[in-house]
Amino acid sequence: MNLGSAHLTALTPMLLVSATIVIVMLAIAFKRRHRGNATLAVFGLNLALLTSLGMLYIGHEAITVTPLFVVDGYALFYTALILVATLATATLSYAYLEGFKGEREEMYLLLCLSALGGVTLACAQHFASLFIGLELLSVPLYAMIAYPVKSRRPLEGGLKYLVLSAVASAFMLFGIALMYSQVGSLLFLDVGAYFAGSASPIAVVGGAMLLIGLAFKLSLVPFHMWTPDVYEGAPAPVANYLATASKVAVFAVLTRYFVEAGGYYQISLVKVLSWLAFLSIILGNVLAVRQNNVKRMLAYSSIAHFGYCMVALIAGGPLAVEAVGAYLLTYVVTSLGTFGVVTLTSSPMGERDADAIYDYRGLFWRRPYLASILTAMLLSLAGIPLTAGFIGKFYAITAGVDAHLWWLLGALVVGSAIGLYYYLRLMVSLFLRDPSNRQFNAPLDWAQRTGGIMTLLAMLLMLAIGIYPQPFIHLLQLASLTLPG
Amino acid sequence: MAPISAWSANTWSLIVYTVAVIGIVGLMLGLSWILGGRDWGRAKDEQFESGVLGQGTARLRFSAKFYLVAMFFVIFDVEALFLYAWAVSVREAGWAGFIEASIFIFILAASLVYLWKIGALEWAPASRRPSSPSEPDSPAAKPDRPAR
Repeated sequence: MNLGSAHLTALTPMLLVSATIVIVMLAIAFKRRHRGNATLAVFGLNLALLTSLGMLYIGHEAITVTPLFVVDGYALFYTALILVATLATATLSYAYLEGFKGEREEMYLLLCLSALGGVTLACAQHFASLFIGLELLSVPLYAMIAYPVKSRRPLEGGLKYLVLSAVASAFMLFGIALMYSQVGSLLFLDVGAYFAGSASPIAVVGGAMLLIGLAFKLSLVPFHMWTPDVYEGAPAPVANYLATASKVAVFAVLTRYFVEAGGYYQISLVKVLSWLAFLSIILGNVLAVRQNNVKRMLAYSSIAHFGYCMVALIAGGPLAVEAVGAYLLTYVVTSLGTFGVVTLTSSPMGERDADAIYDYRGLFWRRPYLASILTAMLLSLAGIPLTAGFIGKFYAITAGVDAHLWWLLGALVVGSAIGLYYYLRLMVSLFLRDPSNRQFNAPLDWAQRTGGIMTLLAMLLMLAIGIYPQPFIHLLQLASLTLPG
Repeated sequence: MAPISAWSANTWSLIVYTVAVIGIVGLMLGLSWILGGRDWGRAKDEQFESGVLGQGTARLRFSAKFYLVAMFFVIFDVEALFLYAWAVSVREAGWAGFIEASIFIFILAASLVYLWKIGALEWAPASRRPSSPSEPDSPAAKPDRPAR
């Protein structure tokens, strides 16, 4: 297979991220400067983001680069989404790591590596690239979660994620092997063609094992056990990355697998998936109510959100891909804002993050802007109209109604109602009287800090999507996948 | 009774095989448990080290450096394997293959430079190093290399 210039052009975002990794690594080797190295990483990621957005808007037909990758509107859209989340994490890490007493620069290196894994997943159309992408996404994450290696909780979180992730990868590899034993090809399209006919039970078992691996990464109930502990242990910016970029990348490849590799033909598995979605929505929301720790609460709420997103995926039909895209877009923008405020309240990094609800008591009277942003973001997570979260939920419900998934929609409605309760609980505490002994003071000049600007942008974007979604819907339509046949 | 199709024959042979494996393992462990003699004594509790008396415990603390270098070796060794694949097909791969291999080698070299510069290849403990790890010093100037 020869690589022509058209192929290389299509791969530009991926190549730019790879080049950034090598350059940042060499820069760290020769001169350790937090600001310089962070700027270098952010510059490279921005370049990759701009090219992917440019390519998405210019729009060209899908280019298959080797059997492993396909660069189409869908891949470019998710590449851009992952890079935006990565950039936000890099920005937040910068303010956060100022208080870290170790070597700070490697965080950006790990972040870029993980982003490369995400971009690989967005372009994957082959089980080999799916697996490579997934590992490249999660292996740097182990190190990122345990980055403050001297403290107990991050180390515990990192180890938990490492062990459970390895188990999930083993399941997935075995599933892929079983499917390969029946299909004789690792290409999504060939697997899809095979499932369109009569599939042997061995292949279906393989599909189920693959789904177990992916459901673990998306922390769907009952594969969610690791989520709250890891989110709580991880430094706040890394938790942000875990909740956004890593999950979006996995969901992107899951959707492509469903559409191209015949996930929809495996009726029994779709049934199982709808149970997983149902359980995720209900359990995620119910368990979130009981949390007094903001990071744990957001972890459970992310379980529930991916349950909602699953509804859109299970619905299938012409709207599914667009609905999933809309949900993920709004979820990423909202989560970036929420975790952004949590990170900014916790930075510079101290003994622990500001993650107890008590730490947010009276935040409005101390830091009105941060508290306002957090309020808006929580409303969006709850799905109140005029916010981005509403558009995402609207899409998910529309797709569900089209497919007559009544009991799943019931769960979605009940789950959203429960969700409103715990989001409001946090929101109320923002406006309570200021406790006399406060432990966390976000720096006063937060607005000048890049992190503050980033969260403000996330909020503006969130409101823009909520009030005038038309340009974003146009973007989503550029990122459609066509069903084969 | 339903006729035995190819699929069910396969499945049945797999099931029989699995049961047989579990049975044999169970038989071997069970028989040795039932038939084997059991007695205890001071000398019997010691580990068998080919007739040599064991010294100390197994809870030794190895220097983490040892693992680190072992890991670097494995990583670079495995990556060198790809170069073998390129080497046997160097004519077929042509210039494109050459450029790709060069990029690969460059990235390997860059990571080696990184490891060297951050002091991951230093054997001496930090307190006994002549200079801070951020400054490059040649590997020959190491104060105490492990005796070979």
